[in-house]
Amino acid sequence: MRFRRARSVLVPAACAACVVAAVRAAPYLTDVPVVWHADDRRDIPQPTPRDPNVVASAVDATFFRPLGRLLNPTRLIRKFGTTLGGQPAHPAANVNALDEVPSSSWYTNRIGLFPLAPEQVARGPLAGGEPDMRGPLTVISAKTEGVTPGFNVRDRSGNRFVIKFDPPGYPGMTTAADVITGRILHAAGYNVPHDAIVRLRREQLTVGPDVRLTMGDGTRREMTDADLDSILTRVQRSPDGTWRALASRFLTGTDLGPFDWRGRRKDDPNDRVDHQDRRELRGFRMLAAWLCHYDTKQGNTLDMYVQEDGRRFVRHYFIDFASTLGAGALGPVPTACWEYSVDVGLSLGRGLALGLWQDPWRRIERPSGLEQIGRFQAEPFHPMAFRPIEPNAAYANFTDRDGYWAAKIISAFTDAHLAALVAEGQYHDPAAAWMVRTLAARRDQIARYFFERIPPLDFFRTDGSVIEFTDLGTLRGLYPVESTRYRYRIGDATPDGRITWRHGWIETADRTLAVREGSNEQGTGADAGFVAAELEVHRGARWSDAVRVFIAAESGRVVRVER
Amino acid sequence: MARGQEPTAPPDSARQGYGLSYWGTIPPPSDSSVAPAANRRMPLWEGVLVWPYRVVAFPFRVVADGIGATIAAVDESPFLRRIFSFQARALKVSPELNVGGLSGFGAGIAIQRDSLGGDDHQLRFRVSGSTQQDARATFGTRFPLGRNGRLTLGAGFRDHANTRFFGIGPAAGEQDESLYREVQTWVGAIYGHRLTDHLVLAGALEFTSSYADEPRGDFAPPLSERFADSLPPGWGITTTGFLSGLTVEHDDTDGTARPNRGGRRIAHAAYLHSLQDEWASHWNFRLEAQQFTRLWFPGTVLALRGVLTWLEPVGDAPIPFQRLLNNNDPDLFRGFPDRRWRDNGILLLTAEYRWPMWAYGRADGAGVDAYVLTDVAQVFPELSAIRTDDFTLSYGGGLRLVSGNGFLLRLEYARSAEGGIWRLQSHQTFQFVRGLFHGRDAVPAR
Repeated sequence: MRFRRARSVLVPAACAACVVAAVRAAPYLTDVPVVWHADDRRDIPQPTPRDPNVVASAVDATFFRPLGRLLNPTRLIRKFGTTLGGQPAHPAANVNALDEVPSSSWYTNRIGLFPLAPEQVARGPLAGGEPDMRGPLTVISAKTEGVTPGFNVRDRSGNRFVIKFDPPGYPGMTTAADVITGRILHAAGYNVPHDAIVRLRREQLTVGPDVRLTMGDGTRREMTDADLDSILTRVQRSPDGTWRALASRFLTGTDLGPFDWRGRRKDDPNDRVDHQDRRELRGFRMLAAWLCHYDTKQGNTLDMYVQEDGRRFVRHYFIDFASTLGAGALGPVPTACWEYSVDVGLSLGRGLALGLWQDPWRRIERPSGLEQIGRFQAEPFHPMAFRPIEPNAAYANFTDRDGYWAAKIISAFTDAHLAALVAEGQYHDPAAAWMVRTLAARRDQIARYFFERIPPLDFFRTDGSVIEFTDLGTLRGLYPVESTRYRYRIGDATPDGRITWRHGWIETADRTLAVREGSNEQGTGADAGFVAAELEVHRGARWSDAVRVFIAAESGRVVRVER
Repeated sequence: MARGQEPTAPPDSARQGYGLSYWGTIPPPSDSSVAPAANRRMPLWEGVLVWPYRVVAFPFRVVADGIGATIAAVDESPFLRRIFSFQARALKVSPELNVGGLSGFGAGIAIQRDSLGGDDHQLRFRVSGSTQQDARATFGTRFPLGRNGRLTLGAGFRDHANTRFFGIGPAAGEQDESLYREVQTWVGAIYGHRLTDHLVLAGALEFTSSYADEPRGDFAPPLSERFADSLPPGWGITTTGFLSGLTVEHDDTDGTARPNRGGRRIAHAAYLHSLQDEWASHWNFRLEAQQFTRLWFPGTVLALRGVLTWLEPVGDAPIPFQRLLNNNDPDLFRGFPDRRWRDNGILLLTAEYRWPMWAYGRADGAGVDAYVLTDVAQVFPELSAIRTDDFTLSYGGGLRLVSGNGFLLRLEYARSAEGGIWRLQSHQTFQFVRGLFHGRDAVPAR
């Protein structure tokens, strides 16, 4: 018995020790396939739904968490280290050997890695995801309170939709922003509901049976046609007698409430990476900056317990994009994207500045004559100046590599993509053209900012004799090809990452590097196991930092990229 | 991807994260193509530092979680929801608290109904008390009368158990601080008529009563002790009178609690008819100008205010000392205690430089402004006695918190030759708009 007890403790401990030892002994370079899919869709029992209090969450995110980060000694040291070129946080945890994010229940690689056509990008999450407008729409629940009332409907196919309207005085602004942002985020790789703009006619709306309304004093009563009319009189009607609205399709699965931007869902065994260390959540900061996606509090995220291919697991969504592209759920918010709702640091700074410094947002005006456009502009804009509604734990861990990853995705949206996406917002011209130009200008600013910090030499391919790469800076039109030069050196690398360079820097204007045969005293690539190549780019001012790529000598596989 | 092989055709699988990518072919997800993700191991140096930090921070984290849980409980409380929904629909109930000072700890409640019968018919009742036996009860109602008119009716009782008295005139010494009790009652009506968008003419008729006697606290010597040899006129008796007055007010501020431009100009004349022959009836004149000027950036504002107010006795009888003008709301001499100075007249010049620190969403909405201030002031027995030698100077700074509906809280520190004063007040030094409705005289005419 005593032996059994001892074994029950010792065996797991020994196993853990072995695992630790194995992890410690894992070589730096291994010739194994790159991981492109995370194993986070295993069948699990349904986790408990979360329903965090909005006010308490905001207080925690605004005051307590930033204070905790401020006093954390490791973060303090890293903060000081940034003055020496360090990063404010450790690298993201869920990246593969190529510094890419494997697809998962959080994220699916799309436009960043695949050459999607504009029509594919504009299609959104679900082909035919709009409500069937040929038949009646039955109201199944409603919200009568608030500035922007709305209701939920079921179409004749049985699909359910949230119907939302533009805030009073801003026709077409919020609904367009919601649809465009949703489509962009989906193309970028995130899970979002399928949103579309619809035009409602009164005669196609019917109030379903047993629809109950909650009144302001908490009492409930049955909804009538008069209540529906009352809702519709409070939203702007188009000259053709229809109401422009946003139809957001209900997500499939069981609603588990929002996910937290920090930590993990403890009752989800698939959730094994702290959210603040997920690359796609850290990098979301730049997507949000690009789109001025201000309201990214946890209440605008949603976990759904879904069943796919016979497995039940949690899929993680972003929802509600009303507060994007300069719009707001109640109209444009001047401080949006420039400061937190309660920005202690900025406020203290302004206090000390004695009014001699002006906030950039005070200089911003809505473009004249474009009533559908909110406070969204290309200038002033700085990617790192973006601030959401409240401090965000994942954004706080944002590093340059996270930014580069996001910039790579953002810069993959061509002007043609943007035009197709903006068309989904059904703006009137010239608002649509203005929005495309502004999105393109902000896209380029983000890409330039991060491509200056991390050279955008990417997508390495090899056939053993040469290594080809893509210069995203020139490919995406940010820098002229003529004034761009590269230099590289090739070496042999051992599995533990030690490199012996075969030769010094070689300059070239070509994006093809010769992997020269030959050896030095330490041996050839074949002997060492891996070939290493180091590249830098010169665009007229100075040589950039280096990008290092490792190729397995035997398989010819790119096994690691370092930036 | 092999060299030269470019992904050209955009297959739909690409929307699902597999197919021919810029990196080569990405296989579809299957049991053999996935790998578990896990948290990155913490570097040794981080572990050495972060674990002691976590241990030390744990109690604070527990406290923070407790605060969060409390907020959630309060926010989700059905009882409070019911109260707030009741407030939204019927009555606004707001608590009042006062801590410290001569009033001690005070608490009260204000109940307001905004649509009594008509949309713009308001009713307000307010009652409070304190540990130092201060007491107050006021009632006010106001409603439209005609297209451009507005009638306000109000009544109130206020018992200040410990009111400061330093003597009368600009030479009153700081060392002569003493206390008395002041009891006031009033009932009256004000009719305001809007002549233009910016111009309002108002007429007032009020009955007022004022009484002064021994204080109830022991913060400082009683007036009767400190000034035993020369008790001020009005000590120990009740004075009553009818006040009738006219006010012309021009207001072209931009209508927010954080004005950037415009100003207010007020001219006021009132006559207090004393019901006791031994006390003087008197005129009260008041000229006030406020001006807000935007400086280099929106939100950076120079606010200027000048007040000249004085009493003109009719006949030879004295004005009771408790009806003399003194530095009290709204004519504060910041850096000095309230009622530090008292006489027939007050000249007050104020300048504030304000700049925004925080704005909740909108520049002119809720937020916090910082400001620096300077006040130059004096009390005088008659207009000809105004002279620069008697000016008091104070300076300081503070924060103005403005809520979305215009409620204002000021926390400021001001310093004068007699020391420094912290002040927390819930209305503006500028744009003072309280009147009978809120339980105050329309203009201080005591």
